[in-house]
Parts: sequence; C-alpha cells; structure tokens
Amino acid sequence: MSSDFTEDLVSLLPRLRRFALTLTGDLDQADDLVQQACEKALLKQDQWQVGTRLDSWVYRIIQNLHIDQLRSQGRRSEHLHEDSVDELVDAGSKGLPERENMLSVLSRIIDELPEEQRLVMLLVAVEEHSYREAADILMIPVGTVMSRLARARTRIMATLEAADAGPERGKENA
Amino acid sequence: MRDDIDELMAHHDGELPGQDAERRFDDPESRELLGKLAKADKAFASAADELLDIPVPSKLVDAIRQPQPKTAEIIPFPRRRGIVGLAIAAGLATVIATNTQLFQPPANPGADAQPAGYAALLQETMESVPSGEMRSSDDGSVSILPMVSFKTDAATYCREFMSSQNGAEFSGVACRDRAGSWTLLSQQGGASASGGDAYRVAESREAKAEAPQTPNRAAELSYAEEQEAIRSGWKGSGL
Repeated sequence: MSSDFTEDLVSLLPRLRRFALTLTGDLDQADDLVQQACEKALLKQDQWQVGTRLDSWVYRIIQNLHIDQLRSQGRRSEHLHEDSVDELVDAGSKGLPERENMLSVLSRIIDELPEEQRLVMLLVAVEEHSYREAADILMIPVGTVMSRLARARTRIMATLEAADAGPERGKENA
Repeated sequence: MRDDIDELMAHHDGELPGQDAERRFDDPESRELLGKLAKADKAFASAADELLDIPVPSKLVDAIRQPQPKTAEIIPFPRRRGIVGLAIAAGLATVIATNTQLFQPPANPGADAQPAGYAALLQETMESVPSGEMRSSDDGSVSILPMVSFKTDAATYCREFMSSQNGAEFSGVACRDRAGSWTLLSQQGGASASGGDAYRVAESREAKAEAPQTPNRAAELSYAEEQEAIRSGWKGSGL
C-alpha cells in the first residue's frame, strides 16, 4: 500500500465528505460511503492513472457505491431517470429526520436544490470540473450536466432575487 | 429565459474559450446575466464551503490510514447455512458445468429465463467484488452478493454468494479455475416452489467426465486476505 496514496486520500477527506453529503443528505451515510470508497480506492489504487484527478476517480467510486446501495435497498435512484428528475424537488430528503441536520449545515440555497442539481453545481461551479469530467463522475451525458446546471442556477438566481426584493417576497417565493 | 442560455453558461464556465465567445456575449443583457450567474455560483460556493469546515472524525482517518483486519463480511441468510458443508458431507457428485451451461437457470418453476448478462455479472462479481458488497445488472433484475471466500485443500479459491434473480433468491458456490473463470459448483434455494432449501447442482453431461473433487474448505479468508487475493487476481488459484 502506498503511503503517499493513502495520505492523498486523507487530504481529500473534507471534499470527499462534502461530495457524499451532497449526494446523501446525511452525514453518517456520507461517512460510511467515504470510508467504503477509500477502502476500495486503496484496494484498486493501481487502476488510478497518475496524472488524472484523484478526486474525480474517488467521486465516481462514491457515486457507484451509492447507486449500488440504492439498488440493494430496492430503491430506484431518481438520477437514473433523466426525464423526470430535473424538475423534481429532492423528495428523497423531504421529511427525513436528517433533514433537520441538513438544514443546520446547508444554507437554504443548497437545500432547496434537488440532489442532482446540487451535485453538478458542486462539481462545476465550486470545484471547477469541466462538463466532461462532471459527466464522467456522475455517469450522465454532458447535455444533462448542462441542463441541470441551467436549472440549478435559474433556481438560485430566483432565490437571490427574491431575497433581494425583501423578506416578505422571499417567503412567498420560498 | 433566453434561447442561448446553455451557450452563455458554457462561456461562463470556460467551456467556450476564445475571443469569439467574448464578443458574442459582450452586450449589456449578456453581461448582466453573466453577473447573475457569478453571483449564484458564489452564493452556492459559500454554502458548500461550510461543509468543508465539518471536522473529519478521527476514526475515519484511522480507518483509511490503518485499515483494521476484519473477517469478510458475511451476510446473514437463512439458506446459506451449511451450503458448502452440506455439499461436502453428503459427498454430492458436484458437477462442474461449462460456462455456457453453468448459468442455466436453476430449476425454478415459473421463473423466467436467466436474464441476459448474468454470466458476465457473476464472473465480474466473483473476480473483483469484496464479500458483503452487492453488484446488480443494469436493469436491476439480477443482484449478486459475495458472502465469503475460502481456499480449498487444493489451494483453489472458492466463493459463496447469494443471488437474486427476478425476485427469486439463490445461493451458490463458485470456484476459480486456472484460466481465470469462475465455475459454479453448486446452487441452492430459489423460489419457494423449488422446495425451500433443496440443494441444487448445476448439471452437465459433458462436464461430468471432468468432475473435480468436491472442494474441502481449508480456510476462510479474512477481509485482508480476500482483499489481497482480489488485488493479485486470485493468484495461484485453479481447479
């Protein structure tokens, strides 16, 4: 086992957890995912190509594990149904106990976005992955990345404009 | 919303490099919208960056720096009990099927034909997926869950697994041959119509002549040993 590789993973942990938390909306689940993903990455480190982004590679492992877990739970992941997800509110997290925790950490701006839109925003707008890289990580077409970005930004802009217009109007648009 | 919003966003994200894009969106309306996009990104990033401040639990760091040896995860499964021992004790004429015949659906009245891609999924899962991690076909109709890996007296690697096929559950044992293929030695269970725990053996008239010794389980692999075996491509295994 390469100690450098291990330490690279450790240094990525805050961002890996952020990605997993954005994916699951629950910190415990996120930590479980990150731990499993890191164990898998260590096991298959020879498959990672030096010179490529390690974070992208581990993100994809996390994404795969998450999909497998959803399947094993008998759930169909919303992001497998491209036609229906983009307009959905993140119904998966509504009403869950962890939503309370989520709200204490995430701002309303993030929390109001569906999971799929949060992920593309995180990857492209925050971590500056290219559209192609984001598409590879999330295993979706580039066009879907773009449409999710457009919807996410449109929603955020509307939230910001409502907030700028005043608290009362902001509540009406919430 | 304007029709070229995708292009404008691509420009904003640096996906349309060059002066042409600069000129194309160098009008007041575009500049205003680009400003709003930047503001939206900044707001989102500010919120997202808060997540980076959540302290990373030391147990997570430790788990990565010093993976603790643990036994392979074994998923409780009623029909799993004694599956290999039963085969050995009963001295069953366990039969190796060829890969083609291997994945014929077990006798399972009412079950549909084996889903396409099952054989490949089983090969891939046996070869590379640690015990306790499930793999599913793209359409979700088939899932395979390795449960434990063990070595036989003949130094062959074998793995017990659970499989769900169109809602029916089976468990089985597959062993790795010298060519690197996983060969099903036995399969058990399935739909209730099959009689519950009835033990099933993959049958092949051609393969009977090549039937191997029934594998004796010499030692179950620990989690670390299984990981090493996967990493090394199950080096040294072969019927």
